[in-house]
Amino acid sequence: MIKERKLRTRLGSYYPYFLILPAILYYIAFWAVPAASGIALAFQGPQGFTLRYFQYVLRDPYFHQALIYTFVFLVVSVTAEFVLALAVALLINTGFKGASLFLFVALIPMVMPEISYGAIWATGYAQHGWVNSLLVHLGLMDPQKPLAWLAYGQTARWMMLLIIAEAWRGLPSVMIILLAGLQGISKEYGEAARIFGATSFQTLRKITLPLLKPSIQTALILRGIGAVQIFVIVTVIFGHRNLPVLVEEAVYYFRELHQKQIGAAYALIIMGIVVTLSVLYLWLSGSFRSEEGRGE
Amino acid sequence: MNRPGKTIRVAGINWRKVAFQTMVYLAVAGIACFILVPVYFLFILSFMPKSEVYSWPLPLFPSKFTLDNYKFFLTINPKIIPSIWRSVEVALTTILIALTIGGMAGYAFARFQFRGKNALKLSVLFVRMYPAVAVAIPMAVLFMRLGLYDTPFPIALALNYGVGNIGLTIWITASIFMGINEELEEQAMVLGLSRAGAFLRITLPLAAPGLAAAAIYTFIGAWNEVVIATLMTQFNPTLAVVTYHTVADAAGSLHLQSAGGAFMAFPALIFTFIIKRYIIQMWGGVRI
Amino acid sequence: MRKLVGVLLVLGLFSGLALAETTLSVVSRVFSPPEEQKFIREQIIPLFEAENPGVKVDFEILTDQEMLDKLVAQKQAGNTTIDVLITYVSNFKRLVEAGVVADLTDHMDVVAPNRTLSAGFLKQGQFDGKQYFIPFTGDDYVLIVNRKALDYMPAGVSLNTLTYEDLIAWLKNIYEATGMKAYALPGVRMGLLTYIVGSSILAYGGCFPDVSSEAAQAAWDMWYRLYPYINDNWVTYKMVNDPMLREETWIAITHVARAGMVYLSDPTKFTLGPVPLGPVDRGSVAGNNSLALAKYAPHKDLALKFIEFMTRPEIQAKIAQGVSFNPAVAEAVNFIPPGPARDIIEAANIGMSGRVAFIPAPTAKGGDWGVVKQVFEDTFYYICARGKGVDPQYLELQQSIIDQQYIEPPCK
Repeated sequence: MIKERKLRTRLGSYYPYFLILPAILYYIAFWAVPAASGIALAFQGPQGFTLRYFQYVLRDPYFHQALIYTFVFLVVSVTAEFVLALAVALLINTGFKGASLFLFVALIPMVMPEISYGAIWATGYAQHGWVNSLLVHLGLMDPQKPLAWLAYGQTARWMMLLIIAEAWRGLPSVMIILLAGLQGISKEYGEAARIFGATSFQTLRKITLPLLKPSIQTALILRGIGAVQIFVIVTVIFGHRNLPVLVEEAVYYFRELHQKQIGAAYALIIMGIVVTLSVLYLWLSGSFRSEEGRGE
Repeated sequence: MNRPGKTIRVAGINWRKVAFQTMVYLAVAGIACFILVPVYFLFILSFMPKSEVYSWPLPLFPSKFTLDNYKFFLTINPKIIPSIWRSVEVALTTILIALTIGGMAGYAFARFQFRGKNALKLSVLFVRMYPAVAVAIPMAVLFMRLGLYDTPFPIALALNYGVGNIGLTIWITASIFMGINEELEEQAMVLGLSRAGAFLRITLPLAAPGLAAAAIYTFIGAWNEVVIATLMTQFNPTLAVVTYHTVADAAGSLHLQSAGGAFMAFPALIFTFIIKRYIIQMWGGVRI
Repeated sequence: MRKLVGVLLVLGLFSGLALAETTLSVVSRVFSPPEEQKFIREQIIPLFEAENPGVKVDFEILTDQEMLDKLVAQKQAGNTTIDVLITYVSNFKRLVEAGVVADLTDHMDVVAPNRTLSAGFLKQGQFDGKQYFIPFTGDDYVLIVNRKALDYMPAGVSLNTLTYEDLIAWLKNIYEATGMKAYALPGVRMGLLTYIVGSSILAYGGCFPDVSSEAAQAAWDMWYRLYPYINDNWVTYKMVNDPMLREETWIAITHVARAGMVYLSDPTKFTLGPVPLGPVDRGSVAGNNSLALAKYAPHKDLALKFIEFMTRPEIQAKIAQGVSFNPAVAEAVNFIPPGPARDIIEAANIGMSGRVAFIPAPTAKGGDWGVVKQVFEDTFYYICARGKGVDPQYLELQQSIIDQQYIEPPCK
């Protein structure tokens, strides 16, 4: 077959490794080496190798809280963002008048620097902030009794506020990957389907989405990795430990309690969780049984 | 476009099409509102004087539009103007590194089957899975020992940011390359182009949306990063470092914080505006 | 287009090389608000540069963690570029243990000739008998009040005679009349809560850091009764400036510099007073901001000159006027003209005239001030936020956590 012959170039079947080699070398030089000392720190007790810091973290009640909150946040926010982002990508893909401008608008939240992102939502949710001000102008809130969004003890409400803020920012980052993927799907598929009588919805489900699968996978993995590690926005709006999440706790031990080993153990545990979730997701979505046909 | 038997025409108007288009516009309007309302407030807060920024209820429009906040922001730290160029340099260099090294690897993952492929592909994301706070100091020391501390041209930062962005680029470009039919390359080779030539002339242009997406991600990541940049610079900071240390502690200075954040966002917005056209370049020649 | 890009790149390259003279690198975690930074760079630094021709001072703000990380990284790489640090007392021990600050015991006559530095503050900067840190501004707390609240003040009470019990009655009046929970407590973790509550415990006759003595229990009971009038958003307040400026709250006890910023933004809208009286006296926890010399500083002599400059009474006075910090040098107050700036300093000084406790650095191996703060915060949550009230057993337990941070606990 032509395909197989073309694969056997001068370099033989090692050709792909050569293309990947620069990336791997780069990683080893600029990440693995410095990371090694960070990782080693988690095992360095006063008397040598120890697992006590891991034990500490696993028994810490804040860790359990952080696990739950992070997980809830991950599931709800990534789902919401994915649905919205897919909708936006499909909308833009229809090519309506002004779609290019809409694309730009949809990308704006992604571009904002972290301080702006934190500032705008922290001041938004303040009792006399812009959210309440807007509601007052719209006649939906009494200026004498503005709602305290960040009131103590309202954890469920806090989680909702966090998800809204993150959905606002996460939407474009998922959307561009899906949109870029949509660009590669030939219009002929859709037209053929229409000729055979399929509705738009059927076309979407049976043709577009399966063809979009690599991009969906990429978007979900990248966004999932980011969502599990949410941190700065939580501390900016809520401060430490009011809504514990994994990386916020790790940083708390590093920076506020100055317990580097516990922080390092936390970091490794977080990485373990992320790797596990990623592998699980990829396995469930069929990435690992693709030895034939199009490589996935 | 002929859908047999499903067109409803009343008084010469295709109602199905009108309904569909209305829904599209409504959805677009709704989502645009959700996105733009916070952005709107961020920007108007930057044009309000301090007294108004804290008023209750916050007015929907500044009563006196002022550029003082921006002027103040630009004069707090003398290093701010050079820092803009530095940020541009870092961002563009990082894009170069990430797209070339990452793009090559992404192509390999898309086109070939080989041993350890799945493990390798996942492993390039490890760097994004490990919280940066745990690696910051060893990373900085490494670059300092290489003599790359606080250089006028911020090569150390670009190298550092490349680490996180190569993995991301690999995944995005791989998913895009997978969507490009291999037969196109083969036909080009049959017609006389080398493999590399086929890649450059056929595949790469078709992959432009993916490359553009990866470029935007990389640009924004490099443009906004603060932790490593603070450690690695002193007299030659990036704009993110200067902005962060100028207005981040904004207790009582929301007007300045807004101006600083908005100022920092402008170049990134411009870059995004320019690049977005490469994301949607396949509408059969229709330029919108 | 390409030419333009090329020109821009070259410009960027060369702009970094425009440092022909000697540059003294000063990093600070103090003066971080934008107005304060600008003030230092435009009003104070040029005076030093004028005295030392050919010298430029590079003044940069860093957070506590960034400063420590940077100094450690520079030390490990053998390439230190920082000369002077300005930092807060809670960081002193860590910086000394990391080996990045220099011993100045033999240089005291160079850095602080002919002036009286507060003895208590000097002691906070000493470790193993060696003087590492030179105090420069003191920490004080004042009461900042929105004038609208004055209408609800209980009869016979004035800002200068206000006790904590009066404060509760006052807040109650405001709540009953307007429905507003008018007190702003900076409740975010690792924030000012420890110092505000600690100061009140001193005012009730307790010690610092003490949470379990009888005096402390009386103070906790006071906070338990004050809690219903604390604004609901208190756990997210890092500083009280924003809620006070937005008038979400009307009364707060806060650090003098922050209060000064609010007060000076509109002295017709706000007013200030000293911290409230407790049954025994006023109480104040005192921390300080100090200057230190980086151990491997490239410009040692120039750095020492800078430290001397910053502790000069005239400069101290200027800084106090510009940013409402309380000078650590006694002579400085003579140089401050009357006016709002002086009012602020005087309110702070009244607060300091009662029972003052200096923040004691943890002496035990692995002891950390963050743990002490966490105890105060957890206790506040337990007693007030979760409504468990004063529980002596719980308080004993919490006190033992604090005591573990010291070889000899300060409050025994």
